[in-house]
Amino acid sequence: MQNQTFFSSETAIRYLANKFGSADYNNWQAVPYQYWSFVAYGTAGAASYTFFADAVGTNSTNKQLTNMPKAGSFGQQHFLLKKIRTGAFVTNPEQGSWDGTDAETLYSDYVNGIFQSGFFNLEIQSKSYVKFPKPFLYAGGDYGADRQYLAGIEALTLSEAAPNVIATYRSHSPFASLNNNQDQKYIVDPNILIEAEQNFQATIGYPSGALAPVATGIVSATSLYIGVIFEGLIMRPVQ
Amino acid sequence: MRNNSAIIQALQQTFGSADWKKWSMHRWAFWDYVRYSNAGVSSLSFFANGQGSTDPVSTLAKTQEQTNIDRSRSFGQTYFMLAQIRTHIHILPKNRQLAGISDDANVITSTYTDMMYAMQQLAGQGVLTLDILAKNYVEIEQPFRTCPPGMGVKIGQHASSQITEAAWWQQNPDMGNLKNFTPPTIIEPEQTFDCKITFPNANSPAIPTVSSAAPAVDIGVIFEGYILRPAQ
Repeated sequence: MQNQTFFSSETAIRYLANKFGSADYNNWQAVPYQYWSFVAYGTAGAASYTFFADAVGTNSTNKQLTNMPKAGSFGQQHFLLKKIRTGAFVTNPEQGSWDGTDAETLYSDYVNGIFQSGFFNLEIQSKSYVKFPKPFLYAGGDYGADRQYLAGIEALTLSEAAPNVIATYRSHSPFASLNNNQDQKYIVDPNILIEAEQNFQATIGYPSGALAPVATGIVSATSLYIGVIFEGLIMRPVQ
Repeated sequence: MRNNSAIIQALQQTFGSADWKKWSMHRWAFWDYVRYSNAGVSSLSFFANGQGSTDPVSTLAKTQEQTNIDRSRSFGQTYFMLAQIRTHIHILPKNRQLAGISDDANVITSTYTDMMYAMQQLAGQGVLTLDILAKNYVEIEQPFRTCPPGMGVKIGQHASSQITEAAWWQQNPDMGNLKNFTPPTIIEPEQTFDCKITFPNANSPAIPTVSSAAPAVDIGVIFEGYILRPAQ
């Protein structure tokens, strides 16, 4: 089946009206909506992570992790996909206890770890429609990342001499986030209509090899979650 | 060509047998990352080795993390409307670096520092060229700055775990500085093209060893635009 692309919501509604003649599209509404799916990254990495594969409440998911009504499909409503972004959260970043090593800060993974790799692929009915490299960099935008302002030193020891010399030094902890500017999200152009009950699969793959996090002191089996967020319009009957 | 319908029209006139009503157009990216020779190079060729073929420097088979083209210097049976070029200096993740770096406990906040200065040097050099059917279409000086990746992380602050300074460096990560091409250029099915970054002034900078190991750095070129392909 051919998947449709649209330059405006109006043409998408018209297309649906023509295709599914029995529905009264005058009584349908288009609502701005987002669907998200987060999965645990784990301590060893994986060759591939699949998103939107679980409906909320199944396979230990809850609303923090996903709001999908059905596994791999939007169920009985159409969804016009306009934007894609990626995200991540860690249950406790332990920012206040950095010991000077790469393993004790998630910063390591932001600048030189798991967020610097992989590729994104969206398949609808087994055909690829969106593909881009380094998904956490390429489509990292549009959320309110924290700002952190640190100064001073975390630790300093002196060795006795005349004058005394610095033996060890550690500055304040490092901090980074995904690039959260609004224009950093991936604009799907033209928009893609994922029809009711159509199956799709969104994956982030690491075919060059599973990539373990650098921040082993922070990341446990279920402390770091990576996610994909779809933004667009749901089209559903007015109730 | 100044708009999409003009492109479709031109294709229709050239290739009359295709039913263009059954073709679809999507935003698409083609990318290719090649491993940098740490001694410095006179040129880098992109899109020459497709998925599964061997990167001549790393000697590893290329996966979709390095490229999503299947053919050498061609996009195969799809049309591609090139609207944007990005470059990306990509320091491989710590856990994909050689031993010495991957097991250095604080390479990110100390030992990488000299390499960061080499990356900064590299960013100020080079000329990117794109030839399609041996005819030049794009020529850009300092491509790592003129065609930034428009992606990266937002760094609040770097940190130092040593007495001396610690540096981090990345290319411009903001989308607003991307290099767009107007009008876009069409690369037709099976047309061959040649994309290179050369360093005519002198060889590109050498990358110093880090913790007695050679750091792995990939250089990428990303073509952004639209593919035109039959709807199935």
